[in-house]
Amino acid sequence: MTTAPIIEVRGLTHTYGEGAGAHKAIEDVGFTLDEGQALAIVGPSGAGKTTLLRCLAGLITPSGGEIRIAGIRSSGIPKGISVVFQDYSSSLFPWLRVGPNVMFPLRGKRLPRAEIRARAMSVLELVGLPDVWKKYPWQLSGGMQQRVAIARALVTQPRLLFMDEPFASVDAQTRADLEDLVLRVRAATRTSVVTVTHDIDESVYLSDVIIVLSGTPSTVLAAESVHLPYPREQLATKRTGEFLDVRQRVYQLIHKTDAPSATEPQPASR
Amino acid sequence: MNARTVRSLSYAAAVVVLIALLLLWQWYAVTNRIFFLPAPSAIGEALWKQWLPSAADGSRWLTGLAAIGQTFASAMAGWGIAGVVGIVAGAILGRWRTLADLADIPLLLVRSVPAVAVIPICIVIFGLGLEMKLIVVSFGCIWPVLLNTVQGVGAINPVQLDVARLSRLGLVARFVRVMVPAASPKIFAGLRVSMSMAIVVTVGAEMFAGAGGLGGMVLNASATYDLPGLWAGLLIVALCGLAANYLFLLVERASLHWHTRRRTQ
Repeated sequence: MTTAPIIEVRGLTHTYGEGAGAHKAIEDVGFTLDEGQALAIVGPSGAGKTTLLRCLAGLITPSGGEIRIAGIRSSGIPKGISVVFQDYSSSLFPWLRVGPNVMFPLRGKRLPRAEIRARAMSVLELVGLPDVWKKYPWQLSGGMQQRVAIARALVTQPRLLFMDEPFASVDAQTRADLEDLVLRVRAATRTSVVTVTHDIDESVYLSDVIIVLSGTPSTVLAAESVHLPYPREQLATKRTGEFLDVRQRVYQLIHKTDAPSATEPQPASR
Repeated sequence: MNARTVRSLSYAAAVVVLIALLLLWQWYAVTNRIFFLPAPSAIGEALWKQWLPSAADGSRWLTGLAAIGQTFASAMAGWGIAGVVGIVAGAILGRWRTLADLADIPLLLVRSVPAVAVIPICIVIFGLGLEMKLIVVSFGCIWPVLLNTVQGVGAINPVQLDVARLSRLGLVARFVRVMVPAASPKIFAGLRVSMSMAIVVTVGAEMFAGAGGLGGMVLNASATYDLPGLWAGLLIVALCGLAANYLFLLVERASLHWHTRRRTQ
């Protein structure tokens, strides 16, 4: 069998609610992503970025259209996926220590306990946290908590990793560190990654393909390819002409759909 | 003065006040000789005779101990049933809005029936024994657990439920591993209120049935105009409640230490 794309989406539509209160979040979204590639989904705030991600991860059943993950049209949670959420403080269980939090997705799988432990240890090392096994998540800094959340997502050895605004709640320095961590993890595991973000620089830096969504109901405005070589580096990569070109094209696409705000008076200092 | 000294000083003050009140009571009871208010010394004597092992009165204290055991065991068993049923039903109602809306008015109605009011019916159906007590007690003390669980489970952060779904947990595993721990601070609060109610309702049921346990002894003392014995019985009931509450606190503290430490951080 020739390798099917890891994600294949056709005519995806989702409407929240019914009747007069119905809200159409996404309409006729379609794209494909090849195995091993990284995709970023960007768009103006309020666009259906998170809705799209939740449909892909099987957390909501879309109202219409078709999703194939690794060639399989699934209902419910597709096999071999993991999700990292924005809100690390609630996505990690506060009643479990870091170790059991990371082992959580493997509980109930038919694996020997020692194997589960070893896997959790190795992903914690991969995210640079070898010594926090016995801590509670809330005893760690925000950036460290998100690393734990990433470790938990990786412990199942997913083929496809979804991240919903993963670094929106951490400071700029931590954010850069975590972006580089994701690049390292991809290099080490060949996992395909889908990141929802509102940060254009981040979308370019992390991905091979960027999908730009319009405002609601969201459709795909453009799919931009990013031809930046790996390994990437915060300063050098962000100085290249390709980075700046893609960044500008994506920016213009988003702000065209965001037209009203361009004519609003802007605050003097920003 | 550090916090520790302040605490031991206030304990000492409380003891002094308690002793002063007892002395006042003793003086008042002795000088006025009121029938229904026996002196603390008389109550103490009744306590000694009925509840403590003494050479003078062979095995009488054993019947007292048996009564305590009987009441305690029925209260705990009824509370346990109420706890399990309350948590399971509460979790179902908390996650299933339509059902909760449907059940709202019937539950309000049933909840408004005082536990003591169902005792006569239960006696007719189940007799005077343990079965009747368990039914009455679990009915009487299920509501705090049930309502708190509904609230706690309803307030679980949806992200945590998403994590559970993504981990492909079945319904039971989701309930045990995510919903109950996430709602456990609320559930424990409900269980604690329920526990005090369980002892109250157990004693009430025993008195109504006219036999068994501490309630039976209190009723017996009252029927024979043994006022010091009556007061001693009440004191023992109160001490049982206190002990149960303290034991529960220990369990709660061990189970919720992540919660308290997180909040005080």
